Amino acid sequence: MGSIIEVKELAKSYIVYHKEPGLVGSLRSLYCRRKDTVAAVKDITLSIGEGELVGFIGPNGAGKTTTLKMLSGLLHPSGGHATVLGYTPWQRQPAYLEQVSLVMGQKNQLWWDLPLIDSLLLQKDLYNVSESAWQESLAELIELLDLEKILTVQVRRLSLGQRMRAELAAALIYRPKVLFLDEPTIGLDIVVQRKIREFIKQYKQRHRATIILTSHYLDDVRELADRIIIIDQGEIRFDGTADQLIKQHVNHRRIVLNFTQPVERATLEKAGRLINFEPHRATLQVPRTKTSSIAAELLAALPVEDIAIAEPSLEDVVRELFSGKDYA
Amino acid sequence: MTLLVRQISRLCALEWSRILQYRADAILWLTAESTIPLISLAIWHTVSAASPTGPAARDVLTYFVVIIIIGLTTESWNGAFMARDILNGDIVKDLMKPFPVFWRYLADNLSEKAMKLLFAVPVTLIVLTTLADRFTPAIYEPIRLVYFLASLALAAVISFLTDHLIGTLAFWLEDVFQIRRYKVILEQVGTGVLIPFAFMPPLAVMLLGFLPFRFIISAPAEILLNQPVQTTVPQLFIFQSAWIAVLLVMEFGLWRRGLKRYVVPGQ
Repeated sequence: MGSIIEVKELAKSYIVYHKEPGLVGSLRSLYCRRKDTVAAVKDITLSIGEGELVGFIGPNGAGKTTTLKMLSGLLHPSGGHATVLGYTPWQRQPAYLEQVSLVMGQKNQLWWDLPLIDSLLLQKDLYNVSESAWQESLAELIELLDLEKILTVQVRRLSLGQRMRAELAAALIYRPKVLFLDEPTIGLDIVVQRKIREFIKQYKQRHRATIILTSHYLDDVRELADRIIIIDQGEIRFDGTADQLIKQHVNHRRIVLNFTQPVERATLEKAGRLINFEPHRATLQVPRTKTSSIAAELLAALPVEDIAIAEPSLEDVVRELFSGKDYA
Repeated sequence: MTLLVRQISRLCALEWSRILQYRADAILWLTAESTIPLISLAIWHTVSAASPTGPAARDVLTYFVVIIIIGLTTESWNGAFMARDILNGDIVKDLMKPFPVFWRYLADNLSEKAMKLLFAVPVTLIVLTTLADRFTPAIYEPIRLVYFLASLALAAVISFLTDHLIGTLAFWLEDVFQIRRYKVILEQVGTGVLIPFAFMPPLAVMLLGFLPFRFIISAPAEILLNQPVQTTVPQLFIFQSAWIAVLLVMEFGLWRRGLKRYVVPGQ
């Protein structure tokens, strides 16, 4: 698998000006402004192969979107290097821009007052797509995104979900090789989120597009990403699969027990950390390495009807990771 | 080149489609654009009729009718939209396209301008041909018309570049609209729309010559009427060309620097 995106020690700092409150603060800021340099991204290094779908996860202000903006060519970095498809993104060469696409959930690129089809025709000319390729791509997008009924509707009249489908169509009509998706499901209801995820999955399979996705919805990342990169305070804290994340950062598992008769709470507390307790049902958190032996002891000692061993969810891991808890 | 023409044609077609959905808006702009020259015409026509010296009443009438057309042809408003797009981050959609942002705003400007002229040119032509004896005879000389059209094209470019340059300042300033308001005031005085250069004291003419605004409205009118104020027709062309060169250098320099420091707000 060839590398499509290469990033080495990429950094971005911003200057932030402060102003004291009130009129005095305003007057003071006329001749003396206090400023701080904020490091949004610090020395990020990564490599992404062709056809990979990588999910960036991180709290607000972690540096995910800043990284995405640098890779798409919108921002000039303060330091480091990056190449995407062999180009330096922020040089914004037309040959580079023809092969990438950026979808931002909170920005739209469609012509607000005109129907979707007009924006798609414009994309055809701006990206120099041949008539046959455009027709083929349009037919595919109509099928995958169910666009038939909204093609000729003025964009301003579309619902949020329809608009996001339309945005994706405009972003993909010229079949970019690299796709940057920044919060593509933000604000959408669960049904539409699922549709969008399904579409991204199918598009990736069909065209082997390389995709970077940022999302606050972990369902997006869990269902779509081959690989997860956790960014926090401008630095990469984890780079690997969801399974690796759970195994690497969580040293416990959960044992879920159903009993035929009520059991004593105290008996269970001796075996591990009690997460849930009802007389006929309980969930215990136990060290990963001792899971088997503790499960065997519980089976022998208690009236167990059935037992299940579960890994913590991705949500649990990420929540704990960002709240700075210890997982041991 | 063929691709660029096709791209600009498509953008113009879309812009026309958009404008056609807001016909009342276009007519309102057209009326607003013509109002100030018409008020100025009423004032200066009275002044010139009562004054034994200075431009003749017929020349004043011709000047103001001509500058309505010049105003509509050279008008540029994209800077404000570009500033807004830079400040709220909407310019991202244009920055991500393999098509220069500059051309995108130019296509927008040309298409909306063409739509306005579609209303204004026939009306003006009817007035100028049916009431020919009331206007300065020089404007009917073919060579003057050729010079005028050339100067008008240069004026439109100066106007677009000036406006675009002010829009580019949004990379540095948070309230670029305030600057645009100053530009509008300077435009009113410095273009010759409120006070023709022929009525200005020599010092004011000289000082305003250091700004690009005279070369947007007054210069093509002076050339058409063959009445250049404190200069010659060839010099007016030279000044116009020089301003285009200066503005282009400034525009591309500022754009490149602006993009380097841009932080893309809004997300």
